[in-house]
Amino acid sequence: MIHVFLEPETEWVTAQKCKSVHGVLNRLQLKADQVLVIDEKDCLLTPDRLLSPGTKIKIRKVGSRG
Amino acid sequence: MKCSRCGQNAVVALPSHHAGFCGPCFLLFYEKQVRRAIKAHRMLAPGDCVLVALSGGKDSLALAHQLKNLGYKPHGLHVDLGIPDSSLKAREKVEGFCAAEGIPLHITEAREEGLSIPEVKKNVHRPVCSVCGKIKRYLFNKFARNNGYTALATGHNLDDEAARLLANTVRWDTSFLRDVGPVLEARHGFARRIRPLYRLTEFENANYCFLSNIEYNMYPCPYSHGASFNVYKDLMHRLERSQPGKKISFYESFQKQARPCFVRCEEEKGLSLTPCRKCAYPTSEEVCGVCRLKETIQGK
Repeated sequence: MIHVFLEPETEWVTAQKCKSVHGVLNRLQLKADQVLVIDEKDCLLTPDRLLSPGTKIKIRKVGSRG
Repeated sequence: MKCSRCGQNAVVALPSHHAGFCGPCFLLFYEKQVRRAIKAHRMLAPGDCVLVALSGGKDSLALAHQLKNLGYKPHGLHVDLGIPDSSLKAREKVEGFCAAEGIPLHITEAREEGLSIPEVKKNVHRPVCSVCGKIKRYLFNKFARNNGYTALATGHNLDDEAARLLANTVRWDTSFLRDVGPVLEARHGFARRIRPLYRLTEFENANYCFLSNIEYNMYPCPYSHGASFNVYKDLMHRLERSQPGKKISFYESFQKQARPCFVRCEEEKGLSLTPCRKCAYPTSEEVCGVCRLKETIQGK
């Protein structure tokens, strides 16, 4: 299970059975060109990066909507 | 994924460029894109006095930051739209950014101009986004012209520009198609407008802000829900995902092959502009749209 903090919603969600950033984005129906994915060390992650179970990441949506 | 430039671990993947970059190499890539845009379209010359429209979002703050890094001396202008909660957050981000970067900041309050957006929203019977955009263009132009700035820079990115081009093409709106471009020369009372970020997507601007430690306002405008512009943005995103690089080629091919035709067409058949009787802003009618809106709000 991967723990995901979503911005700007500021809410925690979980993604089950995901082994990579790409998998988490698919599970949450997000696109890689519309979000920043940030790890606990405040580093950006590309979609191919593997994630260990229990990892916490932040996903920041970047599309301006108005 | 490895950085296409130095071979270290990449932190930003850019399928449109068939590339990935580590942090430092991404910042070089970003700078190169802005330099290229400025040079290719002769946007700025030494000694130019440039005013940057600062909303507090990632695009405008990234633009001001990059222009400063390139050696220009930008001034910022923020229009406080008077939207409860939302405008305060945006204004705080702009003030904090300018103070940290040493960028002179000017603030115009829409309320003092009789144009606070909540009041405007009560008085228009169409989506407020287009009216809000018109008011901001009006106030930015007025400030730039009244204070002698030689260029007004906005943070329009490739997503904005490609979506606007698509929307105006769907409508075959020739006057708007004439104005879809990286540079709009000063004419008829309009300040010279430049868009140095037209080669960069909002994703790239967000990465730039993150890697440059720029804190921006990430909360959407509470009035923007359902804006039709987002439909065109989503269409362009889908096209880009299936055919990487299509967005920039759509926009640049238009600039080279089609825009000159629309410029000629508007010169021959377009509406002629004259100064507004009340405020001197260029308009095709006796009184400009913003002054008419003010009259409606004031109940005259």
